[in-house]
Amino acid sequence: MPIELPPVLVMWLGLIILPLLPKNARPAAFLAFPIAALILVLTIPLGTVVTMPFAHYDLVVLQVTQASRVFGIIFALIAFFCGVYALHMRETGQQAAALLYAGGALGVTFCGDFFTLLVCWEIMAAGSTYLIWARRTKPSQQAGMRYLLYHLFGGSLLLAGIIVHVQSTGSLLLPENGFAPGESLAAWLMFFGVMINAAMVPLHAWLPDAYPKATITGACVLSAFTTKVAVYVAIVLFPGWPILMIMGVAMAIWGVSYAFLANDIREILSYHIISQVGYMIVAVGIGTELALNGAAAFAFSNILYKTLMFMATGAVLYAVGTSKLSELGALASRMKWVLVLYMVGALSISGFPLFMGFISKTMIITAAGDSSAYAIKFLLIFASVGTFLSVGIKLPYYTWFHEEKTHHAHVRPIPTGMFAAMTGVAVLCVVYGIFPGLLYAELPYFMVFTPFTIPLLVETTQILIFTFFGFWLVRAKLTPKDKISLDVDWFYRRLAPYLRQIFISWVNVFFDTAERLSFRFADFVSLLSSDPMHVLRTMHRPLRDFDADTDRPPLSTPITLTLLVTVAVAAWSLWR
Amino acid sequence: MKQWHWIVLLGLTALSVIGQFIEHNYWWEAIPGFFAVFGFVGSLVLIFIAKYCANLFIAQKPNYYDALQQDHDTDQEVNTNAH
Repeated sequence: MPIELPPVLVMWLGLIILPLLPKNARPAAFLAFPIAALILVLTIPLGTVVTMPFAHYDLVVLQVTQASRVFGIIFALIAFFCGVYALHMRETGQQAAALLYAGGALGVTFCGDFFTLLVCWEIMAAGSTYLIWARRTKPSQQAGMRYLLYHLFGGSLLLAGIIVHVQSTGSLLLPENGFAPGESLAAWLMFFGVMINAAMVPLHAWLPDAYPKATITGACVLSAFTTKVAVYVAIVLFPGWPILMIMGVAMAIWGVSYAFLANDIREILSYHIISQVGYMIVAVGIGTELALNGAAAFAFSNILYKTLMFMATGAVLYAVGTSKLSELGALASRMKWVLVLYMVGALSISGFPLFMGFISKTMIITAAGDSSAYAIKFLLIFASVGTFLSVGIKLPYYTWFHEEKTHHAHVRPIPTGMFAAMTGVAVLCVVYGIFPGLLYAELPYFMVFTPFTIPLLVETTQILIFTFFGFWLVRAKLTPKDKISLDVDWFYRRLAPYLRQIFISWVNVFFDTAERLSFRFADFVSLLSSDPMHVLRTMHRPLRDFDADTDRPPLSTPITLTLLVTVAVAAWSLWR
Repeated sequence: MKQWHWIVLLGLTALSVIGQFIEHNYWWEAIPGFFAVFGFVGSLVLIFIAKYCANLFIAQKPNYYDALQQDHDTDQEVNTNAH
């Protein structure tokens, strides 16, 4: 009898248990929670629904579908490998944040109503922000704040959409077959909320801004969850929205172009996430069963090899203390195994046959062809040229080969845990690449798809070899320089000083002025009260305060005044 | 890159061109070397467009945003002093 407990609760249980353990036992204990979650995901039967009454609604805290199962498996699995990667780390804050964050992802994946979805969504934003701040440098503080603001904005859009949806339909449950394209205002609001997390161009700038500034382990964890959770939600809520095809292609190409320009190796990978998520978004937009399977399969495989690459680049950063291509080079002999493991990831992502990317990327490209979306198909192939160019050739070439640009006298040895995690993920990449059936069996819809056909092999072989030739021909012009690339975050980062001026400086000026004026008024009142007659006559401070005995007017003054008033009142009443 | 590397790569290309004659789904897949040209031209196009845009205004010094920030901070200090 399987225990029908939401996997998210098992992960969050760690938040209570971890702090109670001795500090040295925590990294190993961390691993227990993703494993427990994985066992739950694998044992809870499909179709299980667990509800919990809350106010007037029944919250569906656990709902197992085939789609949530495949995402759940990979989320739990990658949380485990990130835990292994961080076995050397003695920082409970990051472990707790990772559990909170990965737990939130599992919560979204297995929920059946909007309320649970929103709560887990926001908790993910909180946990992930800490993984950026934990680097404890000024740039990461600032980037983390921008990241948090961006995600709170996205969360608010989602919340607004949910409120409108509940108001108009009265139901808090996720719609059975998603929303029809552009169905309602509520659907659009949720769409943009979700697409912020999916890093849809032009709402993507938070990703390459924040991820490279996260901690070494933090970046590995971050790369796996936020965007893929958004893809999952898009599969559930927005399947077949045509706009997604266009946005996805834009993401695929925008991402690789910037990845090609970037200098920081972790920024290259971050930009490349946008490109990869673009493929999944295109697949969700196509919306056929093969395409949705492709989106799920692509998310699954992408999480594995992208995290592997983040782990390997993290190892480089750990070993030599820099992640800038302009300060790396010629490290192959000193970090041979990291190079080998990175290349497994790079070959996977580039779609080499017998590696993992090949079995999922081909599904999406085939699905585009089957739906007669030929322009999309070719643009995606073009993006895969860029993929191989930027993360398959440029990054490893200038990190491990080429010339030594800065001499690193000391290369810190890589902890065993890091190696173990990278090896584990790399083995999975190859195993799934050789036996795609293992993954295909878990996909949401039944399908017959064989990736190893002659046309697909021909296409991949020629593309990859001649992309390499293209790079080799012009490589002399491509030596990385220490530059950053402006992206659309320029608008808000450039505007920030002016907005600060309007909303902070000007508001301060207003309050300053109000304060000054009120003090001046108080001053005047105190001046006036010292001797009103004297002050009003001369407008100067009197030499001494009012003294009733000497300054009192003679008795004739009030008598005259009283008489005058009496006469005036009498005259007025008679005249009337 | 040693000589035999190039020979292996070209051999694989030749093999793939033979594969094109055996099976193809779309008309363009029957054109010998279609994807070789696509990959080669595609990579060069991407490289040159990206580099061209970078040279226009996209590539900046790494302290670009910090410099903006500092400019603004000094401005504000001047303003407060003027009060």
